[in-house]
Amino acid sequence: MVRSKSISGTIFDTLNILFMLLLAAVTLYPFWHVLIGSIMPYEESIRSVIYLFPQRPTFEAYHYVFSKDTLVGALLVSVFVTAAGMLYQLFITAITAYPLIKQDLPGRTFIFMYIIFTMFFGGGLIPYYLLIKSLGMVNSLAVMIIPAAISTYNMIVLKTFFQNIPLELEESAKIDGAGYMTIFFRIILPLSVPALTTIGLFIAVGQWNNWYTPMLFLNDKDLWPLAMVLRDILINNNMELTRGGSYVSQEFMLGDTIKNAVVIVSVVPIIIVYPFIQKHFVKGVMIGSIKS
Amino acid sequence: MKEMQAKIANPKTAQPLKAPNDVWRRILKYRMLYVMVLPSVAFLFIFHYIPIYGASIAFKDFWVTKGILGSPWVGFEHFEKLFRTDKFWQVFRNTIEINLLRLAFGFPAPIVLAILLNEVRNRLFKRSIQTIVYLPHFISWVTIAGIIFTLLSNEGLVNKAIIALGGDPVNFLTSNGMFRPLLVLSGIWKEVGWGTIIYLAALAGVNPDLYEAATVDGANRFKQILHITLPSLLPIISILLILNFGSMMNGGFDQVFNLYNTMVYESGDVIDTYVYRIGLTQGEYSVATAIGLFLNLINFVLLVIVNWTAKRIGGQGIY
Repeated sequence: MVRSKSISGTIFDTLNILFMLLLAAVTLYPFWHVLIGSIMPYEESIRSVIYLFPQRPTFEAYHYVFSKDTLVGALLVSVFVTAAGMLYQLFITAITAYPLIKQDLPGRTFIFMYIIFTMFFGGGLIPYYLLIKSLGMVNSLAVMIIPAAISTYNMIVLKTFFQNIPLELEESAKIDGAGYMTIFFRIILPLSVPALTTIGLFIAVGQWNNWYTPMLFLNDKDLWPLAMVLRDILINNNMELTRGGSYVSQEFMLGDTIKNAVVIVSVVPIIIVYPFIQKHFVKGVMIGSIKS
Repeated sequence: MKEMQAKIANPKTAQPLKAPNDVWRRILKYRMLYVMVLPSVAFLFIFHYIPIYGASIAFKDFWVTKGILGSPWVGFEHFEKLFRTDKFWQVFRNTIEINLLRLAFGFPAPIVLAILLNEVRNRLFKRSIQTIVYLPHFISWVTIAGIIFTLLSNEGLVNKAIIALGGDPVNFLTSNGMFRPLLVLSGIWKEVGWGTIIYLAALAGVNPDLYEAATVDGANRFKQILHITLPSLLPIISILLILNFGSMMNGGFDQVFNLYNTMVYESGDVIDTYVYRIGLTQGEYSVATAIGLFLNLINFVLLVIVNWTAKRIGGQGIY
């Protein structure tokens, strides 16, 4: 793209770049503030307004977080719920998307509409709550995994991806006597690894961040994932974890520092997988929003 | 061999017959595929279609001990009571007003940002900015609300700064005047970057020759944006704008629920949070279900209208 280098153009470019830098700062600073807040000693934090870097960083808050059974337990629950939920949801979504690419499958439109309809209409919160209750899934980790079997949106994205796999591959496998189940596992899935990875990571982020389901259905604090513990600490201001037992005075001072540390512990895994998702998500968003 | 390839490449010529026994043959041939869709059909039936049936308690005097079937029908009693409740109309109005604010400010924000990002020439710089602004989309509202509290509370960063500059501290989190701006701005902060993706993709398809020709004709950058960039975004803008009306009744539960408190119910309580409170906190199952059903019906009608309009205008809908 060749464009003239007029004075107004240069001014525009400069302002634009400054704006972008400002935007980046506005986006990142809150995270930085929390990160620094988690390693800044209490006395220092009450004195400073803007945290750039602590003079004497301390990792006390992290020691504390990882020494608490509740928080370590919550971390394990989160890891389990994320991994199991991701594999389960990915499998169900993929195995549903594949049959729907067969244009001449009798009843295909009906099945598709049956699935799509759930995106647009539902019974609402209360009937769902009563259902889960009557199924005995209250206070069971199953509620974090089983009900969210399929995401319609992801199913459409995967279906679009499967549609672009050349039919010839499937036909030649069929000549070798392979059934549809074999074709799905041996040909379709291996060829779809990029799409599956992206969608899997999206599901994982959703599972990791899920505080809503545990809030509704898990009263037993031992079953709480990190997102729910985080909510309890940050939103309900429950200081039991940040100020417990015999350490009252010390931990009162640590309070905010610990809050910050918990935020960081919950955000770090997302930041770690973020580059992997980013590589694909533009494609995912496009397929999902345009082609469907 | 060539014939076979042609057949494979074009499934229509492979199955020209539509005779009834042909349907049975295909059902038999594809039987495994039905087995494959069975799990999600079953799960959706249990976790989605049964609650739709369960919504019938909106028309019943529901008792947990009697169950859905055993509770007596009361017709539209709950709806009539609801429509006479001031609080219901308050949250109804709040939801619409908050969404209109989101539409006025939150909707144009990613368009503006996409146009400005499109003007950045240095690719590496552009990519880095994109990476940064997409990030908050992946952070949950719980975490973001927590961060907002540390920044905006009475002892938070912003008030510390205001005091340091000699001003009076502001109650950002507990005042009705501040709550809606807080919702709109935090929403923009979280989603503006993510929102640019679709616009940037549309801009990637614009022919660069157009800009060159405009430069030759002496059009400055602002004129280029006005006459080339913006027009090429118009189709997608109009479609997204229409689709936006489809979620007019959706209050954004995650955001409101994590940010609000009793002090700001007047300005910030939305239908979703209201349903949650009266249903699960106060145990008024039937009334809460009635609201939920009313809300879902409006949403459904809106979506059908919106989709129909989008299809007529741009040839693309949501389904």
